[in-house]
Amino acid sequence: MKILLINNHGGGWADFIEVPAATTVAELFTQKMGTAQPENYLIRVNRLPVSPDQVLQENDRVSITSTRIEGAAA
Amino acid sequence: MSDSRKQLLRASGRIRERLLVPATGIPTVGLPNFYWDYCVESLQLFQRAAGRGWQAAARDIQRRLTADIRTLQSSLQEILRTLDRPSTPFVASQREIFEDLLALEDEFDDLEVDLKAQTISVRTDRIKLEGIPLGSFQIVLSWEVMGCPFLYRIVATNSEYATPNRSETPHPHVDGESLCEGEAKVPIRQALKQGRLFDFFTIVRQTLLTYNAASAYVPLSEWNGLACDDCGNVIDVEDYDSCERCGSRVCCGCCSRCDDCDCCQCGTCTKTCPACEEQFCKSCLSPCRNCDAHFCTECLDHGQCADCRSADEEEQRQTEPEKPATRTQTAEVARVAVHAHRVRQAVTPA
Repeated sequence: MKILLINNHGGGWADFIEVPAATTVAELFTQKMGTAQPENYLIRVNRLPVSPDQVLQENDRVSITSTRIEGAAA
Repeated sequence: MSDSRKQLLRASGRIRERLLVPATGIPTVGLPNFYWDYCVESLQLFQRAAGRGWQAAARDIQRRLTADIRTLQSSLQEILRTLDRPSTPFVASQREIFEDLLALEDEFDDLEVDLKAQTISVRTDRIKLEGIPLGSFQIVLSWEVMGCPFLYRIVATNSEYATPNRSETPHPHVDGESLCEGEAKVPIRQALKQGRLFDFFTIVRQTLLTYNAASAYVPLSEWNGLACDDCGNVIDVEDYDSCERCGSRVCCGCCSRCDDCDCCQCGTCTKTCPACEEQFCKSCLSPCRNCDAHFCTECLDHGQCADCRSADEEEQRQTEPEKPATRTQTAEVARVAVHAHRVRQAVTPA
């Protein structure tokens, strides 16, 4: 099934991707973010915070945003 | 549909018109020459400051250089990702923008859409970084300012929390109303380019909630003033002096002026002339050629301190041979001797 995955960490990209049916949020996170710790990210489905075991649906909009984004000076 | 929903719908339509829709799925890539130039410039400044021993300036420039290199690195990584991802870039539809605006109403306080001014703004909760309250901030996104597609500004809504010494810095990473984005730069650009307004406001908020001590306009450790390197008292940022010898920051009370050249110096660099006990900088004291102790120019005579000079004179007196008596002195001695002999008094030779 097709979902929109938005990764606001680093490059900040958004893409439609194919995932197997019944994929959970936690599985998608591990698949896309590797060893990154989920607690360091705001993970939302259709703009709402979700639990890791939530099962994704067709056309879901999943966004992953780091909780710590370091600004700078100048 | 309520009036506020109609307003959000109208705004979403206008914002959608502002989005640049790519004609093809071929990624457009440009090398970040701009950031590279920044790095080169910062490196040159850093080398100049370090070479001249301007330690405080070198530290500041080093922070800037680090931030510039990070931005360059992040930008290059984004280019790599773009090239590795051949799919059609995402661009939000009007419906998605409308849904973003609806979600922003729930996520933030005070969502305001001004169709006339062409702005959307939200307000963050009160932000506290490392225990220091900074108040809340309004994030104002303009979808049409002088032909630029998207500009935004950060407005401090509680000015009483700004650092008292630098009112133009309401947040460690905000200068005036500009957020220095650092790591957020690329994600913010992407979110705006693709019309992902919910993501844009979330990224900006998370950046405001994060403190990067290595690259801040005003570090939080100096938010309420600077600690004097000598006495540790907190002083206003603009009231401190820099020791012209070692670059440490000292308060007015700890800054000693050299009696000779009038330069400011900290307690460590201040030297006292052991003769007159006035304070001088190291450069204005010279060693005595005999004892090697350092004295001010006034207290040295031909390169010698007073003690060494006296000691030299004394030694010279003792080692000098006795001079022969003059004719007048001899006659006088003889006269006194005759007289003393007559009155039976002792005669003491001259």
